[in-house]
Amino acid sequence: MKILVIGGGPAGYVSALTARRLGAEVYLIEREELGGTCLNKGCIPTKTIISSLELLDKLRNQRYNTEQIPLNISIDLSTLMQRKDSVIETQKKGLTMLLNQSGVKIIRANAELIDPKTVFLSQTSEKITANRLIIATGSRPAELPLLEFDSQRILSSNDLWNLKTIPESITIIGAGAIGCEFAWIFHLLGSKVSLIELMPRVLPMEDEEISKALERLFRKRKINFYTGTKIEDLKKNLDSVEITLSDKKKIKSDIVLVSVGRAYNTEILQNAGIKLGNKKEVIVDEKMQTNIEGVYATGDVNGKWLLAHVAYKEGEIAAKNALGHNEIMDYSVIPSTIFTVSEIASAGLKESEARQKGINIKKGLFPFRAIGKAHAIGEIDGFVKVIADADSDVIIGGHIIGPKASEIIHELALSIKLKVRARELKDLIHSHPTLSECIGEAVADIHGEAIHKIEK
Amino acid sequence: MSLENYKFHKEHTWVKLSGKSKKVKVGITDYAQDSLGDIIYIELPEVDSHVDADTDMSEIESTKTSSPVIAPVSGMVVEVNEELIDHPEIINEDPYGKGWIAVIEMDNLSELDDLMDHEEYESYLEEERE
Repeated sequence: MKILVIGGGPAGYVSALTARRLGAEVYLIEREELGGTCLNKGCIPTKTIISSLELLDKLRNQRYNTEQIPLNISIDLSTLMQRKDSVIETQKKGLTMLLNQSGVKIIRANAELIDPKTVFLSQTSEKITANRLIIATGSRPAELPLLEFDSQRILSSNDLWNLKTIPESITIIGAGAIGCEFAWIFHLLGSKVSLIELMPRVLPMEDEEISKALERLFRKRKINFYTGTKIEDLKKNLDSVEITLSDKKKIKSDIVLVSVGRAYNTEILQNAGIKLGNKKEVIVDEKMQTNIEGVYATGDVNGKWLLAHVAYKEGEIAAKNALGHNEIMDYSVIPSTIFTVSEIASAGLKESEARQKGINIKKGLFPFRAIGKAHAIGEIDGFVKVIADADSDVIIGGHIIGPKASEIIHELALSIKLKVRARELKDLIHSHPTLSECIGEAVADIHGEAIHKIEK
Repeated sequence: MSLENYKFHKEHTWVKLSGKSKKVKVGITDYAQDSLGDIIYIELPEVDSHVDADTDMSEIESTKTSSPVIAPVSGMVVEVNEELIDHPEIINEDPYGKGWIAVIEMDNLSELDDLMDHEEYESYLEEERE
């Protein structure tokens, strides 16, 4: 069985490795860099930069530096970028080795689909036909009319990696995960940040209480944000951009980042009869199969979740199904994480979703500032919120804003997946001193039994 | 410090009267700041917003806890103490003076009758402690 995978990002390379493991002959076509957006322009570089900058932020933080000793540290953008590049390089080497060892044949070329099972490689005018095709071409920053990327002042999240100097000011359009992460990065770099969001709150896809808490952290950090706000006009000057908001307020900044969503890389599929949706995403069923038998689409390109860890799972499912298995993608419990002024993580239902579904809910909430470990590490902002079905006591949602949220969310994700009851999780002894104690207390709070809760 | 012109709400907030003016300064009491511990942030009410007596008008974060500030009277917020944005610790240092939170233009002066004077507040605290 010959399998062709187009795209070497998380969805594509996991498809390829899974298919190899199951004994197929696998070709992986990549036109740019292995690792895709995640490794080269997204998850990994942003976290590398954030980790360096947060270290500096901690040193400057008066809770550590009680004597207020002036720190003679400045930020050198090229040094930051070098570290980022070396982290990417290490990961990429590992990935290349993994693919080579498993016997995946890597083809570096631009591919175009000429029929559902045949790819045309433009550089060599070569055609490759396979028994099964897995499309994992990913996504790219979406453009808006009036805000077209010019690689000078109106930038996409990809363009930011080419910056040679730290801008004095930046306006970020779109306060989703990408916008909020870059708001934090540029704030830490010392830029004046203005964040604009059309919806009534930042991170509109998160639980309402999480958005509210993040807005407060933005205010604390003096990161300006404007919610429920449209862009009325944009004027490019010689050395700046002036944006007029719907309330006529004008914001001037050196550069503008447009982070309003993603567009799907489906242009190369145009002539193959693969069905696309309204946003030009590839439509797939729960087995990751497109409208054409034997053709699958995984990762961002199917427009479902746009998360690398979902892409991994979809890639695995697609490869297995391509090789005769019969597996269904389960989206019921997907943890998601955002790294901004605080880490934010969630799994399961938001409070509003649970209410819309007519579930009678009970919730527990516990602040990190009542946890010893949070004080020890000097990060006391935030809380854990747990939602349970009041009738069955089963945990159905977990939302965390606070230190190491992205790591500790998995206890709640697992509880939701295994339908653990709040009382059961409360009875689990949580190690001290840890941040996970906050989960134990939030779960206990569902029944009003959080021992360390200070009444207001 | 004389607290003669001050009136107190049982949720540990105060009102400072100046003559018969409807515009009054409000803040939290010494007892409240002491219970909260080191104050590290205050979410100030919005100027031109209306607050209702006995409900949340702002929120204070200390290193120990995060706690709502209960409005002692109803009215429009006409001014807020912007000094507190960068220096919330002023509330710890001078809760009845420089640590004022907002100026409220009262809807109805008669609401003052529902509040305690300093002596009454002190004995209320005694009772609370018991």
